[in-house]
This record gives sequence, C-alpha cells and structure tokens, in this order.
Amino acid sequence: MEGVARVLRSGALGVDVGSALNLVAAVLKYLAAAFLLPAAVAVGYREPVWPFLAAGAVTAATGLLVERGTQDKERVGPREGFLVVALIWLAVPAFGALPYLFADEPQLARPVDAYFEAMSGFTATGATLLTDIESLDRSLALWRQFTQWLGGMGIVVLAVAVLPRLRVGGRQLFQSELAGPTELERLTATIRETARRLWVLYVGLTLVAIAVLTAYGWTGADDAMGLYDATAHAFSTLAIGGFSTREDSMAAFAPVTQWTIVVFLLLAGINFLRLYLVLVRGKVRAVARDDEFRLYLAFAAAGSALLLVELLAGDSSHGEEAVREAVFQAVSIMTTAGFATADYTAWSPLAGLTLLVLMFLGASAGSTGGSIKVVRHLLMFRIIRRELEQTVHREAVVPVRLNTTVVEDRALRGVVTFIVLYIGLFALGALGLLVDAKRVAVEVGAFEALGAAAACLGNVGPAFGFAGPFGSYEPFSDLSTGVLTGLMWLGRLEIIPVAVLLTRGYWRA
Amino acid sequence: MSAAADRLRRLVGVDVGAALNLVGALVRYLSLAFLLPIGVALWYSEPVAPFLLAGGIVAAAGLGLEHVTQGKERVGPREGFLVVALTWLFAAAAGALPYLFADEPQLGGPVNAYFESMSGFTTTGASVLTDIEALDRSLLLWRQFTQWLGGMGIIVLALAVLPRLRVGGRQLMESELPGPELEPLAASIRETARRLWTVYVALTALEIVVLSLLAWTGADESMSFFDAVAHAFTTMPTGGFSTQGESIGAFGPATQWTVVAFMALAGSNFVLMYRTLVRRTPRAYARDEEFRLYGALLVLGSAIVLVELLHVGLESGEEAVRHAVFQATSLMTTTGYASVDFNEWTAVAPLAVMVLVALMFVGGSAASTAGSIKVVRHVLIGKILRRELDQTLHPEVVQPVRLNRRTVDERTLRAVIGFVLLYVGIFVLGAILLVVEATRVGVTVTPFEAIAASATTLGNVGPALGFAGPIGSFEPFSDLSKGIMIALMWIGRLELVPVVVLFTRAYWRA
Repeated sequence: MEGVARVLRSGALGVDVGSALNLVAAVLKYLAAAFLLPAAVAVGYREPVWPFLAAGAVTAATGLLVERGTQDKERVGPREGFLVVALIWLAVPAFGALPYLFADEPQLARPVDAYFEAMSGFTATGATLLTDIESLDRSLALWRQFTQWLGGMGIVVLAVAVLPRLRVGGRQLFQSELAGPTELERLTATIRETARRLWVLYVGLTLVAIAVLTAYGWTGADDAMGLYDATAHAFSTLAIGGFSTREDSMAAFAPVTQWTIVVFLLLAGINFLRLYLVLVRGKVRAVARDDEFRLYLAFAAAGSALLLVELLAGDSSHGEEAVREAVFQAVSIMTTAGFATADYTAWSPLAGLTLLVLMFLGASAGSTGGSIKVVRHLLMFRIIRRELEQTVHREAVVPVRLNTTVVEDRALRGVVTFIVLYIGLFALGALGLLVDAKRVAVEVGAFEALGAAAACLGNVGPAFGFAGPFGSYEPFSDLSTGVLTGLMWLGRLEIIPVAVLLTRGYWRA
Repeated sequence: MSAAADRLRRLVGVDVGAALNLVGALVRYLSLAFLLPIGVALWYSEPVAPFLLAGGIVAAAGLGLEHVTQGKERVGPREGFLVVALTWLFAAAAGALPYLFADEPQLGGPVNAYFESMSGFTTTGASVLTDIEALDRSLLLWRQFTQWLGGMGIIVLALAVLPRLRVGGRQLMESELPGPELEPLAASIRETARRLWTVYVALTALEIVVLSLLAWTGADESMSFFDAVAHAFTTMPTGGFSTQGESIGAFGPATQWTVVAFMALAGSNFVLMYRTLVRRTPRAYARDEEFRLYGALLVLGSAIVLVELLHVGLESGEEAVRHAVFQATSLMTTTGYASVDFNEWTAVAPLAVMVLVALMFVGGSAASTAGSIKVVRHVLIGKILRRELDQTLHPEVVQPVRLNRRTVDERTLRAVIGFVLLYVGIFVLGAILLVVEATRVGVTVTPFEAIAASATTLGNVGPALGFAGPIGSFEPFSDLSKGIMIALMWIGRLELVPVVVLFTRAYWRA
C-alpha cells in the first residue's frame, strides 16, 4: 500500500490520482443527501426506510473516508478532470445501486443487475432489467426515477452549481459532462453561473411538468395520473431518461398526457443555455434563429412522418391515434428518452429501421439528451460539403460556420473524432453482444443486437426484440449486461473523456 | 442557339462540351469490347446479332456524341469528374444493350438490363437473374466480361492504350482507381496505367491456366475451359458474377481454394504487387502497413465465422474451414462469390452473418480492384483517432500521421475522413430508401436485409441477405428500388466524390 502510494507520488505518473480521487470522494459525500427523497417517500407510504438510510450512510462514509485518505488540492488540472468525471460516473451508480440490493428486491438481487439498473438510471438511458415494474415498492420506484433526474443535467454540473470548492477549474470538468460540443458556444457567464442557470431551468421545467401532469389527474383529464406518477414521470421526462413506474410506459396514460410528454421531451431536447435566454430573458431569437434547433425540429418532423406513413400503410391505427403514436415514438426515441405508447417491435421493418436511425440523431447540445446530437450532424454535413467544394476548388479556404460564427478546426476535428469513435463502439458493441448471446444461447438476432448497442450507447433505453419498449433486458447474460453498462457509461460521457484514459500519453509524466 | 450556348457557357464553370466529347471518344472505343462475345457466339453457334447490333449502336452513339461536341486537347480537373461519372453511366447503358437485344426474358425490362449491366461494370455482382444457367453462353460470357472490363477501370484502360488521354490523365485515373491517393508506379501516368493493366491481365491469364488445369487433370470435374475463363474474368476484378446458379458452390473444393487465393490477390495493392514482382522484394509486403491489416482482417473474419460455424454445428472439418475462409474472403474483398448459401445462416448463426456484413465495410486494399471503404482508409482513421486523443491532452503538440514511415499530408487525411463519413451517410440513406420503397410496394424486406442490400451495392460486393442472398436474386425488388441500387453501385464504384461533387453548386459555378 505504501509502495503504491510512493510510486504514485514519485512522479512516475503524469496524473495526480490522489487529488482526483479526493474530488470524487467529495462529490460522493454529497450524493448521500439524495437518499433523503426516497427515504421520505418510504415514510409517507409506510414502506421500509432503512435501505435508503443504509445506502446513504454507506455512501457518506465511503466519501468521507476516501476524502480523508487522499490529499486535497485547491484545484485539479485538466488532465485529472478526465479521470474525475470518468470515476464519478462509475462510482455514483455503484452507490445508487445500493437501495436495490438492500431492499431485497428479487428482480435486482444480484450486484450486476442492480448496477445495470442504476447505470441506466443515472445515465438517463432507461433500459431496464425489471420484468414486473409495478411490483416494486413506491419508494424504490421513485428512487429509480430520481436517479435519472439527478444524472440528466449532470452530477458534476450540479456539483459545480452548489459546491464552492469546484468553482475553480470547473470548466473542463463541466464540459466533459455536458452533452454535445458545447465549447462551440461562447459561455458569457462564469462557469458557476452557467451551471446555476442550467439547474434553475431544469428544476423549473420539472416543477411545471409536475404541476401540469398533476392537474390532469385532478381535473379528471387523465384518470390514471396522480401526484406520484406526475412527479415520477416529470423526473424521467426532463432528464430525457425514459424510466416509467408503469409496465406499459406511457401507454398507461391518456392521450392528453402523452401529448404533454411530447412537448416536454421536445423542450428538454433544446440547448438549455439557449432555452434559458428564451424563457428567462425573453430572447426568442436565441432559439428560433439557431441552426441546430431548426434541424432538430426538421429531424423530429421527418421521423414522425416516416412512422406515420408506416402506421397508415399498416392500417393498424387511424386519425389522431396514428399521428400521436407516430409523433410520440419518433420524439421519444430521437431525443433518447425511450418512453413508449405503443409496442413498436410489432410494427413493420420500415418503422424498425427508422427508429434505429433516429437513435443516432439525439437531441441538441447542452440538453439532457444523449446520442450523437443534432449539432454534430449539422457540422458533419457542413464538413463534407466543404470537402467537396475543396475538391473542385483546391485553393479555396472555406470556413465552416454555425449560426454565422466560424467554427474552428480543432472543434471540427473533435466532432469527427467523436462520430467515428461512436460508430466504431456501436459496431463493436453489437458484435460483442452477438458473440456473447451465442455463448450463452440467448436468441438475439443481428438487428436486435444492433438495436441494443445503439439504444445503450445513445442512452435511449428500449431496443428491439425482447428488449423492446414493453420488454426487458433481463434475458441478456451477465457479460452482455456488463457490456451494455459500459456502453451507457461511455455514451453518457461522450466517449472521449474515457477514451483518453486509455492512451499511454495520458498517464505518462 | 449559339448565343444561348454562349451565355450558358459563361454561367457554367464546367466545359460540358469538352467533357461530353471525351466521353464520346471513350464510348466509341468501348464498342470494340463486343468483339469477344461475338467470337464466343460464333464458336457456340449462338445468335451474333445482339452483339453486332449493340456494338454498332455504341460506336455510332460515341461517334455522334464526339461529332456534335467540341474536342479539346485536354480536359481540366473539373471536367474530369463529369467525364468519369458520365462514362460509367454510358458504359453500363452500352453493356445492357445485348441483354435487351437477345430477347432474354429475365432481363426484358430496361431497368433489369441496366441493373445487371451496372452490377457488371461496377464489379458488384448483384443479379436480377433467377435462372442464370438458362442464358446463352455468349451472353453469360459478356456478363462476366463486363466485370473484367470494369474491374481495373475503363478509363485506366483507356489511358493505357489511347493516345489522346495521355495529358491530364492523372486526375481522371485517380477518380476511378480505388483508394485515397495513387502512389506513382511510373514516371508517366500512361506507363502507370499500362503496368497496372499488365499485372491485371497476367493474373487473369494465370487464373485461367490454373482453373483449366484443375479441369483437365480431373481435380474438378465440374470445371471446364469456358467456366475457367468466365470465373477468372470475375475473380480478378473482385466482381462475383458466376455462370452457375450456386456460384462457386457448384465447383469442387480445389477450385474453391484456388479462387480464395486469387480473390485475396485481387484485393491486394497492385502497385505493391508490381514492385514486388519486378524488384523481387517480398519483404515489401510484410512491411506494408495496409497489407498487414488486410491480412489480419482476412484471418480474423474467417476465424470468427469458423468458430461460429463449428459452434452451432453447421459444418465440420475441412468443409467448415473452407466455407468460413471462402465467405469471409469473398465478402471482404467485395467479390461476392459464395461457396454455400450463407443466407441460410441468418437464423442459426447470426454472428457469422453479422461479421460478413461488417466485412463488407472493410473492402480490399487501395489500388486493387476491390470496392468499399478500403483497408488503408481504416488504417488512417485509426491513426487519426489516436492523434486526436493525444492532442486532447496536449493541444500544442504537432504530430504528423505516418503511413509506412511517410508523412501523410493533412489534405489527404481530411479527404479520408470526408469519404468515410459520406460513405456511412449514403449507406444509411440507401437502407432507409430501400425499406420505404419496399413498404410502399409491399415487398417484405427486414431492416437487416435492407442494411445488407445497401451495404452490398454501395460497397460493390454483390449478394445481400433474404431473397437477395448469394443464390437468390434481386428480381423481387421494385423498379424504383433497383434504380436506387443502380445509383449506389455507380456512386460506390467511383468512390463517391466524383459523383457527389456533381451535385454541389460550387462545382457548376463559373
């Protein structure tokens, strides 16, 4: 132990692992407070409270111990930042899984399964191993929803907003967790101010969603809705997570609720930095004139239209119902939420392929959605167009612009790197799933493997086949579950912070 | 008339007339290609008229086009794209004529005939025929011969033999030859083209000899001289057309192994091959980074398929090894032969099929006759990614990307990335269009089959899955779907850029 510490301190490593761990522990310590919400719910519904109290205690104790055992530093450098973010996102789900284990929930009794469920929660994926969601205690079900809400806007972003210590040097940490290449946006405020704005908006929208949904229940517009369900689904909607307390996901609720969820999903998929300007400062043009926002809406419309064509051709639903089903599924999958109002696995091949492609679009940068994100598609398109123009005019210098601002080459290269890594990981993941499915003799088709890999890497949630929207990932083997857990983690952190850790250059002094 | 033409010329930055003139010249010479099937038809006493008629029309069309347009000493790089793109459209049209004239019922419609011809020239190997063996021998051989002509490139051939194309040919040649960047094989572009074609012809001749020997010695009773020639014509260009409904599965193991060897050769870099043969430096192969990865991927792909086949108990022993290696090599080099109907593996061995579809995106080496993304681009992408990750930490460090110890310039790297992104984009778009169209007309195509069909045509591989599997046919697809796939084959063969660039405004602007 001493020897290891000496090596670490001696400078053979270029990374200050000690202070990175110290920071991780500090964040973990505060995570313990999150268990108060489900504990209160448990008290309210007279369900066992101790799983949450115990989980909170273990989390706080671990955080405190590790923090004491490692050296504190005023600020961590950019190098340590990658390690901090990667570790936080590994550790938080680990502690978030404790209530599942302590509550003796038979469906999540094994650590691998509990970890999968927690990772799916915090990364706002929405893939589940549960086969009978409604048999869960209400407090446990709400904890599941709450993990999505915590992870949606980002744990580090939250920490930056409320913890004084993270104020300095937070920018880089912040950006490796925020969705999309947000460095493209010039952040006018300080990093802490930005983090606060993001969370204020996030909390505000969540409260509005709770109020609206609850109102439906009280006015009788949706008999299935109550305060509990309203809260639970507002949590997973604004986080673009996709967990539900119902076995039938959103199909359990009335059309008006489903339309409302569509609206909130679309809102949550907008760049929050821009949405803040619109909602708080009244600058509508910040969004309306945004290149990314326009393409985002166009993608959503195109996806809905394709699904609608498919539904009308298939003659299974008509009129408002067909429109609602098409729009809901397209928006839910594209923004990477993963709610469902219909079992799309029963739809035709056109729907299957359309949904698979939508999984790769994602929402906007700076939103709570996952996957590749619309702005990257936009930039990719412009990069290709520039390449073609330069094929014709060899000498021409053609800048790539976003909202009239020239995007610098570094950022463009980052976009390309991300996309190529994303596609590569997706293909590897799908192959891995097939290999393992073969090994343990689980029936997984090639398309289903592609779907599961895309759904987890893109933090979407449901895939195809048995892992469809009303199904469960339960039939997958432990190894496959592990692979999928890894994909969710990589996808949530947008790959690069993790990939960097795997290079030799990172660790060298 | 001439005033309008003048105004148009001032508005359009491309000399369309000169480009068409060159296309006319190329098409005119293409008519000579019909002499081969004419000879075969005479030999087997089959109707000669379709080929004579086709040859006549093609020659007349070429001459006519040349006559009405103004020739120029040389075309610029801009016109080059147009020349290449149009030449391939015309060549496929010319190649379709015999199918129409021969009154072959399976290729009766113009769309079917054009599909078959485009699949031929682009060395794809996708076929709308449901009963291949019903074709006349001369027509069958023409089908094989179109692949051979298209394999090393129509324009590369023209550069080698036509005096007029000598100048300004490099750019024309680069847009037709696979790979990101042509390594100069000789001082002049004409000499390079000649050497490439020499290697190509020599290897084809060698394969004809080897396959014929297998037939004469009785090692493979189902092989004949005709089949030896026919299959050498489609192995070397990594084409994949066969005279047999069962593809190479109709022949014995000896033939199958021989074909594997020639496919692997055809998918390797011809420039490297020429240098090795002339300078007798076999170590150049071992040192070449692209060749190493090419070999490694062939072995890896075969191994995974083999393990899967053994695991599910589909095959065993030498047969399992042969089928695994054959299918992996055939699909990775974008040939598209099959020694067994691997479509039947879909249900029982999805992993094997998935690996085969993944191999379709690998392709052969640069400067080979193979299609798809190509191994060298994968090598470079890997190096670019590694550099990006290194630079995430050290933004100031300038690291060049090297290939075989030579620095690759940034332009080429950007072009590689542009190509790969565009390739994936077109592939996805193709798959979606195919499914949409299939839904419209009520043909059952699963998403995975659509993915395979798009990948196989864009990568110039050949067989897909489902009804369009290796011993199946693309016939059930609607005309519009076939049109989409014709476009994919065309775009894929020309490596996207020469075609896609024509659809940008910058290209046409003065």
